Amino acid sequence: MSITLTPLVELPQTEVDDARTLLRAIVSEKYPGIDLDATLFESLLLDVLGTVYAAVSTYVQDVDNSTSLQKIQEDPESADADLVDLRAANFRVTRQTATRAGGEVVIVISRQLATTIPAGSQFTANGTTFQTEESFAARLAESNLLYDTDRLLESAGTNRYKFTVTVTATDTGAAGQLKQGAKLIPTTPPAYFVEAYAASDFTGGRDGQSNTELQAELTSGLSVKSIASRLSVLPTIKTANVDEYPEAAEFADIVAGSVIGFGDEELSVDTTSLFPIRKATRAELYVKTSQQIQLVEYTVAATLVGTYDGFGVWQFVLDKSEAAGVYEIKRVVKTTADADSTGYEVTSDFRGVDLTGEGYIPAITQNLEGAYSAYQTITVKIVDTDTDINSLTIGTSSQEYLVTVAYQPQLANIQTFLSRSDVRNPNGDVLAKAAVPAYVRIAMKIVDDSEVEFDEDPIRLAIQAYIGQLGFAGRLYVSQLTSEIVQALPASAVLSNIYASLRVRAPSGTNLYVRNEHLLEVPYEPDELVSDKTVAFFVNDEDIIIEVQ
Amino acid sequence: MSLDLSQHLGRVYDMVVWRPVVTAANKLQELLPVLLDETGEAQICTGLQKLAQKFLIVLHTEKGTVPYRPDFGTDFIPNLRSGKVRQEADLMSVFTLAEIDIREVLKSLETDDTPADEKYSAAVVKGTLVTPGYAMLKVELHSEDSQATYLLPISIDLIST
Repeated sequence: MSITLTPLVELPQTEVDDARTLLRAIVSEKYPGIDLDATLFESLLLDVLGTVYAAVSTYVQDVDNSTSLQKIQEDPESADADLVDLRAANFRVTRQTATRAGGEVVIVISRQLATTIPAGSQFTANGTTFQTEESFAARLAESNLLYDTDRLLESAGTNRYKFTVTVTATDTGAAGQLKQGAKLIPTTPPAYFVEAYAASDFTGGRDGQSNTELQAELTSGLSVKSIASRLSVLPTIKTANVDEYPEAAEFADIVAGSVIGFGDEELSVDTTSLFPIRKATRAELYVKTSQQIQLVEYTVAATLVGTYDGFGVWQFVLDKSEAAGVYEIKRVVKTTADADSTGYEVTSDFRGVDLTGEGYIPAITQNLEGAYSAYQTITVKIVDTDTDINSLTIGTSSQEYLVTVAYQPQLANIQTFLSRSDVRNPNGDVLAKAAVPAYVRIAMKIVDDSEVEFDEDPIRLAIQAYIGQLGFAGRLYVSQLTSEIVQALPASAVLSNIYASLRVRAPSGTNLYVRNEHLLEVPYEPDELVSDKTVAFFVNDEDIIIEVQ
Repeated sequence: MSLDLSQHLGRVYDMVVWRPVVTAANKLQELLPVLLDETGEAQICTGLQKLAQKFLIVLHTEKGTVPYRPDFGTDFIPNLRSGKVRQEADLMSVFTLAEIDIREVLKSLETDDTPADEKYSAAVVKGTLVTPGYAMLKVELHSEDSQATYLLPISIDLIST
């Protein structure tokens, strides 16, 4: 506990004055004959005891502020963290500790040379330092891969060879969550080093939960740990015992959830019924599992399925393990492509469902119902304008591509948890889906009188942090965005103009657009499974456009 | 002279920290800094004795040294310690400055219930002496009761009072 007795010379004057007044009244009442003005009694009783009393009173007040639920709610950040933890434990809520981010880094060298990256090798990006926890070795042939830390050195174009290493941030916090493609600079570059970049979005980095965030969870901690009611579903998931349910390891990071149940227009229609009714024994949980949409890259085998304008049309399938929670295909490139390559045009994005596998599987009767869930599959067609198909055979020829998808993590784990026999509601099932994404796009003009180069990062981080923590808000006021931006501006700059818009990607693939100067409100389209109960706001870094004059 | 407890009734008292030297006519002649008498007993006082003690407490307290009471006290001791006092005129000067602070403090503590012989009126310097390393100041203290009778301090059981 960090609360200690305040040194007697550092007490607030008002506390000492109040203590002296109280002691004067007490002593005078008990010993009315004692003179307490400019006397020895005053020196001993009021000066000495009054100061001690004030110190103890201040200490008691600090403890009270940190243990009283009402006081914590009034001013969370002034409460002692250790005492707040003790109070939160009474509500079965545990503070989330800070964690370190980590992920895979692609290292590109210009020679096909076996290379070793020792443990403790450091890389920096965006002011954050990352390092390898183990020693990695790039091998020239698959037959030489003997250990888990051996990586195959693959061709990545002319005079480019790549392999991956795993790194972890040296410090805790969300600052370590690099986005896919972010460049890293090695402290000690390996021989023939060309570049290093994040293979996929880094995960795991988390700031420690503040008192404000912790006390906001207290009401959820009180709820019964079952999925019998809307209020209890998300707390049940977030507080699942990891020892008992290993899939729950990262459930505490879930940002928000919204339950759609019987009676809601957004609930999937029961197509097995003669009548057009909503499913009576189903609940659907839309979850925002991370503050920002994640990117991950897969290597897929595509088959030549046709031609278009002389170019090959290639098709590949993302199975449910790859497509769980996936919103969009962001990029498809050859395995030898540069990190900056924009990729090929996606001409078809078909969503299906895969209901095979072990364990309980919710009754999903149509593809739209399974979109964004853990059972989603995606069949993708692209037009490859680089590959010569003259000697290839349609339906047979195949080649590999790197596919980057935008997704929300944890869907498969959440569904596994909800489908457990000791967790799921005996009256029906719960289908977990990634929240329908509403992509916020913000363009602004900033006038800066400073001669120093303008730093956009604080503004970007402020916008991402604000939108990232929003749950199923349904509305996003432009004035609130303006407030966040203004607070992040340096003293030399002013915000002269701002424009915001919204693109909601419905599960069917339809894009719904919202443009308004003041308010971005989620449209109500229950047949598209779009409403304020299903849609969550996100913002990508590339959708924050800043023009500085 | 005899002790008269009734003279102290209805008054609030202080501990005696300066022992009085009283004449045969029951006049307070001077105060000596002694906490216990010959018998080892502590005593309490009211009236002129208490007023004199208040005066001396404020005079001897260095202003700013009492935590959370920065205005209590005077600069009398700091001025003496600084070496400013080289002759009697200097001693008069620093005492005069201190008396202003003392008057302000003592007057702020007086109420309508304060007996007249405990209300401060004036401090008259009766004698000064300054020699290298030594200064002596003799002050005659006056209360608002010019006919006040000096009340001898008494030993009492403070707990049961």
